[in-house]
Amino acid sequence: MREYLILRVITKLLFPFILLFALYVQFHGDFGPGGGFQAGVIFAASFILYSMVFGVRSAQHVLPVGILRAGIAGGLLLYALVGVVDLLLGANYLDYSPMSAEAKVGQHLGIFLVELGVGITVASVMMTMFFTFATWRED
Amino acid sequence: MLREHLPVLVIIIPLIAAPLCILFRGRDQAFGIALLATWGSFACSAVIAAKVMASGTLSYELGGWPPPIGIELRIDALNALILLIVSGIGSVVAPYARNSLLLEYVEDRSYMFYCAFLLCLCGLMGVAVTGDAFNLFVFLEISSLSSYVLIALGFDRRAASFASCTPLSLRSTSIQPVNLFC
Amino acid sequence: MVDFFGLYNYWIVIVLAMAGMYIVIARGNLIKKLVGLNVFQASVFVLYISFGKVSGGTAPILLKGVVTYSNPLPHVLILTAIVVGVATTALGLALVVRIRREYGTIEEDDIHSQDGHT
Repeated sequence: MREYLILRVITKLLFPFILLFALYVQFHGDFGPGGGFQAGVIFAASFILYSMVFGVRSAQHVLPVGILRAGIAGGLLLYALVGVVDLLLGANYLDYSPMSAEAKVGQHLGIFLVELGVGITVASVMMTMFFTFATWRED
Repeated sequence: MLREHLPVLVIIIPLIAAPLCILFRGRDQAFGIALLATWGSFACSAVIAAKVMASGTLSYELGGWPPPIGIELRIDALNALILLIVSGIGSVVAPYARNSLLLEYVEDRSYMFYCAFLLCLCGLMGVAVTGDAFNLFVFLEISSLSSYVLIALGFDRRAASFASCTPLSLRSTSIQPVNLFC
Repeated sequence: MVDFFGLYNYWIVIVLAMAGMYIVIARGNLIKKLVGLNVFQASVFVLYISFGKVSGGTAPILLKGVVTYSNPLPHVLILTAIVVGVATTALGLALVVRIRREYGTIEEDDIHSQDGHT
């Protein structure tokens, strides 16, 4: 891809906007179309675009395997631990109402954290799948 | 205080232990986490079975929402029996997993096996515990995806990989009519 | 007669489902089987989303001055099913890569004949 100048320039220009759009979709899940899964896929799509144009090595330089693995485990743990915090605060398992002084604010905070966990896990899983298939060796 | 949350603890203990197995990658640490999780969920299901024998059906609302709106976990005598069987077999098999993996599998990736094993256990117990049809579908998917991974990790690599394709394609096409009834 | 073709979404569902099922059954290449599986799953998703539409209803997002909304429940269920479909496809592809490494081929007939000789 060294000789495709237009692709390289446009990818570098578009990359932050795609990430920003992924964050927008993540946090507007309760007001419009969006949510954790969609945002995670858009986030991963930006990195996949980058690695298709600039090579898998440079993309793995930015996101090494350890960080992606921690992302997969960490997102799922965030989701489950929000529920455990609700258990410790006295309510049922994923009942977000006691997480703040008002029930409404507590529900909002609970859904925010849960969707964040889902988004982190989905983005890490998509990127791990792409890097696994792209760096497969026949040995 | 935790006694009234037992129906959900039975599912949550393997579910939290699975990503912990990935975070703690050492061979003995992952084995220890898997062992504690299976024994913990067996202890929870034994207490649940005793409670159900004493006082009848247990009902638990997830998220505090009442049943038509929210997901309800409902355990009666048959569910408690299935929970005991599944978690009992899991907790008996788990101590022998370590030596078996030494014979058959690459040592530095054994944490992945424990993660898949715990997710399969969580999915199967969730199928027994839940009282909501779509939640049943979700737990069925969790248990089947992790069981494809476990099947493909068999001893004879050639036959095991191909043996995992047949249930995958068969199940994925046939689960769609089941989806209709949810 | 117009009503027969007026419900065109169900015709699309039927065509996609039959095409997907035929590909899964009739093709021996494992990648083509996975593609057929995805086509079949897409038809099921279209079926459920079209069940959830209320005539005269708009998208299930709260807006001022709108009274009728489509049913949001099928959207949630199908979102979960899409995620599961993606995971199944990824798992299937990983299995196909491994089978290619072990057997040297991904045609089902060749795999069966190689297994028959061992």
